[in-house]
Amino acid sequence: MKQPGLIAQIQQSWRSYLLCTPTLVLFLVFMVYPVFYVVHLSFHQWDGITQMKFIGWENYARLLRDPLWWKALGNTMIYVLSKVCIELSLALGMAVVLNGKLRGRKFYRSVFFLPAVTSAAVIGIVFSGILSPFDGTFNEILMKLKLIAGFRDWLGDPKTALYTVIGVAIWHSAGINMVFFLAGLQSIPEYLYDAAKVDGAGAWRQFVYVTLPMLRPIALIIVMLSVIGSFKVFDLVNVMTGGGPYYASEVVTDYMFKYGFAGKGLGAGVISQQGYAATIGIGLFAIIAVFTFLQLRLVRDKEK
Amino acid sequence: MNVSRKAIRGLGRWPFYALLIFWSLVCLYPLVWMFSTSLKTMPEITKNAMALIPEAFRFENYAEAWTQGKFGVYFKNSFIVTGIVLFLVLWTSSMTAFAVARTNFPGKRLMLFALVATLFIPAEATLVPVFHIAKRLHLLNSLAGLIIVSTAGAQVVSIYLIQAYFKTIPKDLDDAAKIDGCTLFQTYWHVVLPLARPVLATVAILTFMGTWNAYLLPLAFTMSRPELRTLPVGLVAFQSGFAFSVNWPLLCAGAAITLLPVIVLYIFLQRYFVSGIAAGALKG
Repeated sequence: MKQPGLIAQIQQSWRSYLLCTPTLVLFLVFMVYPVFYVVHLSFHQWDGITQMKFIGWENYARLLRDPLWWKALGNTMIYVLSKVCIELSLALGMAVVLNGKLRGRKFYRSVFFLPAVTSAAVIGIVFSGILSPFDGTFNEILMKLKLIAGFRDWLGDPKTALYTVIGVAIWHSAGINMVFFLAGLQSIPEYLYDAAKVDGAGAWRQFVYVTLPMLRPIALIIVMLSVIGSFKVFDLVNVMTGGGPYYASEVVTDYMFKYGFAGKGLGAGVISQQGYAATIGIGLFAIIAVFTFLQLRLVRDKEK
Repeated sequence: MNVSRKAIRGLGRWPFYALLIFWSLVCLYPLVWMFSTSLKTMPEITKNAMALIPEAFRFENYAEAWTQGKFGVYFKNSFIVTGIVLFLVLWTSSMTAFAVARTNFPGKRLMLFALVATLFIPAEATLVPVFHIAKRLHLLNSLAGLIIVSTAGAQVVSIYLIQAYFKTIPKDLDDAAKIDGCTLFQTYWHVVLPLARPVLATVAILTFMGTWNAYLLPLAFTMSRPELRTLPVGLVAFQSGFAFSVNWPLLCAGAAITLLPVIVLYIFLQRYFVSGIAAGALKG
């Protein structure tokens, strides 16, 4: 049979194109076009209302010289590294324990997952209440346990603000990673453990020599998702500290938001700077791209 | 011998149980604190902050939050946005997934490649241009802009999940339907879609959670239009509205109004939540 020509194929497939049309329109207007638009904006100075002014690479040069950008980036790195490390070890531990035959494990699983279904912004508000130095109960609990001597302003102290947000973030998303690890653990065939037992391996050695190697492929995906997700952190920081005090907990997305939307938090008189906000957005994209690339390389090298 | 070994194993499990109970308390405490504070009076939260059971259950806090705190308006907005986004995402992505999984057409590979490629571009990075595009299309005067952009964002993962499921449905059914005189659209609507209920439920739950809980996008889109705020945005604005002492009972009532629908759904549809979220993230 003769293969019909391209034009004929396109004509025959009009139904398929019709089915894809709503998706494609939304996709082109709100996902593809913005990618070009953000690059365009990054070469301009614009308050969002009046005429755009072309300024070449100036926004990028400014980004490299901007100490607050570096501060935000450094904080984001601290956030990503400490959150991913602590959260994933916690999640793996919970998953391993709950994968065994414990009484009430279904109950624990649902409770541990519960925080993950709540809105981060709302959780930020609730935690700022609990952590509040005067009305909050966190200080009182710690004092009753004799862990601290006096009241502390966890979110208002530049030394603790970022780490407090990280703690809340771990509370919020440890459960979801636990579910991912559980899915991975359940895919390990039982006979591997039986074989290890026959060879006389105890619980710890089974974990090190069976569980961990078998979990590696899925674990790498979990790490990657967790890293990418953490780089984009906005909700908790914006709600709990607004990046403060004195930019001590500022992160990249929140910093971009301040320039893009009404210069909130940058002091009075600062009008929104759309071009610079776009440049910060590109910076965020670049960093995530680099980390994704490195991790994909790592996965590929391991597979070889 | 046997007995003592069992006893040792029993004892060995105690630290595990202690840790499990400890983390359960850590997970539950903030939510319990929120519900308990939402039922207290203002004096009670300073006098009796630690108590988890309020002296007198003050349900009026919820009524006050609903009217004075404008949570009624925010709830309506969240409800409209989430409902329409849910409908649009299921409709557009199931149609595209059907075309991708069941038919061949020139440009299919390119389209799939482009869709997957955007998964690597963080939505946060393009927020500023997306805002201006929506503004130029006059979508920011109503909830339309938020609805349309949320739909665009939720589509890609949904298409991916649905088309993977469609591929597991035998293609013989399509051929049989064709012989019976079904058009392509009738096959989609009457044959394939009804068989795909499980994956549609998964996509619905993922989209519901993502849209109901969203903060950054609705915050940016309702900056100059307070009456269009969704619940999370309204809640944060309500908190910033207190100059000196925050009215925690009202604020917690607002937080509870925001969280309750999700928590209730989670309790009843737990299995779908857990498997849906695991599938959505790991396959996506």
